[in-house]
Amino acid sequence: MTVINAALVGSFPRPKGLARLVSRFNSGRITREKLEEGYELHTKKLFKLLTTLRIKYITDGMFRWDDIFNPLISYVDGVKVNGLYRFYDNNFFFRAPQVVGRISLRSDCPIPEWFKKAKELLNEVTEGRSEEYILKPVLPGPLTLAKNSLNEYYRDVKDLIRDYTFNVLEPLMKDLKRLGASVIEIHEPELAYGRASVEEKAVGVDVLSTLIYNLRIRAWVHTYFGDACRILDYLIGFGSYIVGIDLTSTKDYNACILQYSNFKSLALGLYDSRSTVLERSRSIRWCVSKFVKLHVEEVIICNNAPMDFIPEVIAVRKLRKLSRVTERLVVTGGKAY
Amino acid sequence: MNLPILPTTVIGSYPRPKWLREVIKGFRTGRYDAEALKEAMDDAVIAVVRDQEEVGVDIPSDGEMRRDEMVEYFAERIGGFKFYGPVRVWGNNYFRKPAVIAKLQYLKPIVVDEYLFLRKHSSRPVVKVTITGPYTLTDWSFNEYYRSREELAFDLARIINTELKKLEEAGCLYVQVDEPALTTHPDEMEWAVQAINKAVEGVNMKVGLHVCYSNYNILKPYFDVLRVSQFALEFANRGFRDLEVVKGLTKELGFGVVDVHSRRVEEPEEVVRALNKLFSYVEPEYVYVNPDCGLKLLPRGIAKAKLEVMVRGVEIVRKELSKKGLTEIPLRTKV
Repeated sequence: MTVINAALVGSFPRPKGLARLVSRFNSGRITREKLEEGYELHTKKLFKLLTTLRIKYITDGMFRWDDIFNPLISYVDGVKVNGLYRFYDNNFFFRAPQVVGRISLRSDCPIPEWFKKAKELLNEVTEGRSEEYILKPVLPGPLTLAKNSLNEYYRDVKDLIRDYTFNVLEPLMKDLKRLGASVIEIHEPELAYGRASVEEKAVGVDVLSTLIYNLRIRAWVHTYFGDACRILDYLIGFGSYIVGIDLTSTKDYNACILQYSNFKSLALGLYDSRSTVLERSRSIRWCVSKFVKLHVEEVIICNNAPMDFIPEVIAVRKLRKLSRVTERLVVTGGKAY
Repeated sequence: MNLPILPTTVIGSYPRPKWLREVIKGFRTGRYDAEALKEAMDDAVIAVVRDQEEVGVDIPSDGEMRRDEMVEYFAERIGGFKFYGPVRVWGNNYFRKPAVIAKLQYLKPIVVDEYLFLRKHSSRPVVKVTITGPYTLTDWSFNEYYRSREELAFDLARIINTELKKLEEAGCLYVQVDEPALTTHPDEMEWAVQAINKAVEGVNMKVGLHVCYSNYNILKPYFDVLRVSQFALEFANRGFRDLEVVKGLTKELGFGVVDVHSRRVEEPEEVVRALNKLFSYVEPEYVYVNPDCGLKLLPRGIAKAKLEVMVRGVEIVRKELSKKGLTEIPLRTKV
């Protein structure tokens, strides 16, 4: 019997009120404590929303992040934070990592502490029932990190992919595991978007799956901005973990759906984080029911990509719909009607 | 009409004076009326044109004082758009990304009054007016109405074309179409370029095209296809890498020499070095000099200092060029 769950993947739009606080902090008009109060308040508000909607797999909204690379890259030796570059085909830009030396994670990286804090807030919001939810820390994958870097040090980008995996992500994931992360969400849009070479993608998959295996963690490898049918060969490397695919960018999932029956847990990115059009619940249920028929252990219904690209009000509407659709599918045992 | 060689200009936006921001805030809370807001905006244009002219910029803009954002401003003035709320663009910067919910309609002139006011208050013979292009308006909007993005872009091109013709009728000599999104979806380049050409069809004034923070290798094959006389591109942000991309350019280049996302004020010598590097690829007679992009996110003092550095650097290079007899270029409408 396939278990059906709902999830928020990646970021939730940073609320305008919090953005105002960040702006005030950056210009020295409020203290770090005031800013922290803002983070707490808005994270709790998000947790309240997600738990009310009974969304099982959640994130803290990534409110402290500017994009999926920052601030992580500011805590990596051998990396300088460079100019603004476009994040794939979006009107969204990130400060690119400029690799100027051998890379390694610095010991003062606050990301594990942020996770710990978010866990405490979730516990507070749920009044001690936080075990009912899975809070995922979110990290960029090594292939995505490497291919979005300005590499001025490594002769071979594959070495950069390896060092991002074992010198940056490994210590970070170890810390997150130690602090109680039961699932770590790793974003690999590069795998789906298709700029990296076949060889680079193969190395990216190989090193990341090795790392996940060695750390004995439950990983969620999430791909987006590309057709799920084109990347099957790579995703098989993550077959025993949770694999996220972007069905809003997939032309015809029927063409490859059967091959997904070899996977254990599938996260179906069905809610488009780049469009204000609200998805039709019937179409979503129809699609999910087809994946349920594959008899994979778990089907997770989620947004396709980080939600920074849509206004907060639309993100909330989509999550409400996502939650309702999931509940109905749970009741019907994954059948579309 | 002639301009000094390496004409200096801006891309468009300039920081709003603090007092204007206060008035805008006051207008939104009902403390000031529309008349007070208009007066403040007019005054701000005069102030920032003066900033530009004081440091020696040859072709100023009105700093886009009246515009909160480059897509929002047009979406608010074209029928068929709706706003749901702000969306993040980078870091902690947001814009109100509009959604197209009905057939788009040209309601009335959008930037003609801006041009007339700027023309009246600038001492320079040529001023620049900026207008967001049809592809960027398409890409930076949510489409809830049109069957395809292409259909939406061509409807916007029709609207922009009407506006450009009205600008020309009003006497405008130089317009810059802003298309920062142009290379975002390489598979849409063919029709995106045609949409821009549609927008400038039958327009005889000088038309530049600004594309920034983009992969210029995607743009390069269309340099000759696009019916504009100038490409204004960003190069300081990328440390003047990728200059080979403009090798063989048969049109003018608006060369970005100062980084608008860094508060560090460059040295004139950096501008000189960048220009000398560029001359291996583009003849000086075909170069305009500008910041990478709009300056609006910088503190006003830093923006002005950056423009001054840009002009000082250009002056040094001009001295060298004058020894070769290169002192002026024509205002080209066609290249």
